[in-house]
Amino acid sequence: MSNHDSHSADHADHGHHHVSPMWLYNLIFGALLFLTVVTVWIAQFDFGSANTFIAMFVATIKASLVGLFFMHLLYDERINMMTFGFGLLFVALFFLFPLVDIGSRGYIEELKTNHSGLIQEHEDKEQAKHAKKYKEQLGQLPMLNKTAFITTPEGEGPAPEPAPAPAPAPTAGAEAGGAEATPAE
Amino acid sequence: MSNIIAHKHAHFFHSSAQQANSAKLGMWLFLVTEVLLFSGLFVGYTVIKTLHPEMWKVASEQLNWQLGSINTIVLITSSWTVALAVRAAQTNKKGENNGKIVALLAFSILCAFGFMGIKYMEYSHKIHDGLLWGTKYFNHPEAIAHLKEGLKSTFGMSDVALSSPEILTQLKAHAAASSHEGEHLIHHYNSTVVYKDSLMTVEQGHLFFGIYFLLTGLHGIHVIIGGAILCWVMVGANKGRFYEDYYTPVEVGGLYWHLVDLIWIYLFPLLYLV
Repeated sequence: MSNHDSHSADHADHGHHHVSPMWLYNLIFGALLFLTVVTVWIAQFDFGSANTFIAMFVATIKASLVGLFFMHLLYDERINMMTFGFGLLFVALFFLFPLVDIGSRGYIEELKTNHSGLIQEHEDKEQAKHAKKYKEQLGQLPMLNKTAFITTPEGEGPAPEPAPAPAPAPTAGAEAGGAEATPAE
Repeated sequence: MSNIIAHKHAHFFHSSAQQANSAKLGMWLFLVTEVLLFSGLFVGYTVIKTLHPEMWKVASEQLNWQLGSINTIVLITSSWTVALAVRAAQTNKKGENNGKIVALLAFSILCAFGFMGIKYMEYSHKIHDGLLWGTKYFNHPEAIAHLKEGLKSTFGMSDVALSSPEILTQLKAHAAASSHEGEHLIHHYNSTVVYKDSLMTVEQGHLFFGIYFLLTGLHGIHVIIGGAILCWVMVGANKGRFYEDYYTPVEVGGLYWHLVDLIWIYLFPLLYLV
């Protein structure tokens, strides 16, 4: 934790910041140059699918060095590191879902080519299920009752109310829409 | 005498330290939005690369990794000098470091120019070769037709020969024997094809160059803005505005510049090497 908060305001400024020694900056600079050479050098070998992973690993070391020492994350208030960390967390989340998507496409393709009958069967079943549900719901919709549909002004009544069609329409019109509706008519 | 202009913290802050910390936190929040801005393109990169691994391999080989490496070193060096400039401001008591801050920032700005200069070389080469995004990519059917016409009229080749595997060796023999124009066509041909000896294989190449130009272009814009910020900080440092009790613009401007470096650290291997 920062300890300068306890000092009085006018003395707080002196020595509140951490000054890294010169050799540290030079060392980090050297390490960054070295790791750049490593990145280029290692790219000539083919590790198959690990290529990207290795390159990202080295890049992450470099980025950490820049962040921790050049950008002072290591010495600053922890809130800065947390802020950036949470940002990176959301980046990871952002990557996760597309990766899951494209990662599972091979599986779907395999299903399509080798088990097309199975998929068809499943789709037919789903379709039949949905068709049945749709028909049921169609029957339940009060809006499809012709009289209610025509007599309710602007359809402003709360839809889910399963009111019997002919009765509520005139009352709803008289209570809510009646006053505004009459001049229009 | 003292060569600094004393800074007084804003009245709504408790102290200079508090103001400096608030400014820095604000900058970090902004940097997070910058990272998220870039991450959209990085996700696009990942998806397109996974869907077209073979195209990606051929297309990415068209980039010049030597120039990319030089640019990496240029940016890392500038990041180092900016960090040193912040340090010089941190230890600046009575203006004795003013010149040092200015010199270090001037060098960093020079690096920004160098980076953009190299970028310009790369871009103009890509534009010349038609290695561009979308329908501008020269592998567009029209461009292929044009290339084929060129090959036909220069070398008197038939359509069959143009899609045969031996075409490259034939072309090279022609080039060795003859004209500058032939070499030029071969250069074009080389960059279009040669993954599986067919003109159409790299068909999706425009996707790679779309991502390449978006990522490096957005990054390039950041380099320019970062350079401008460093210029502004340099002017202030020259007047002696930054010293041990107040160096927020140096530090916050530096943070921006480091972020530009940070993004390039990922861009370079992803585009040029992998």
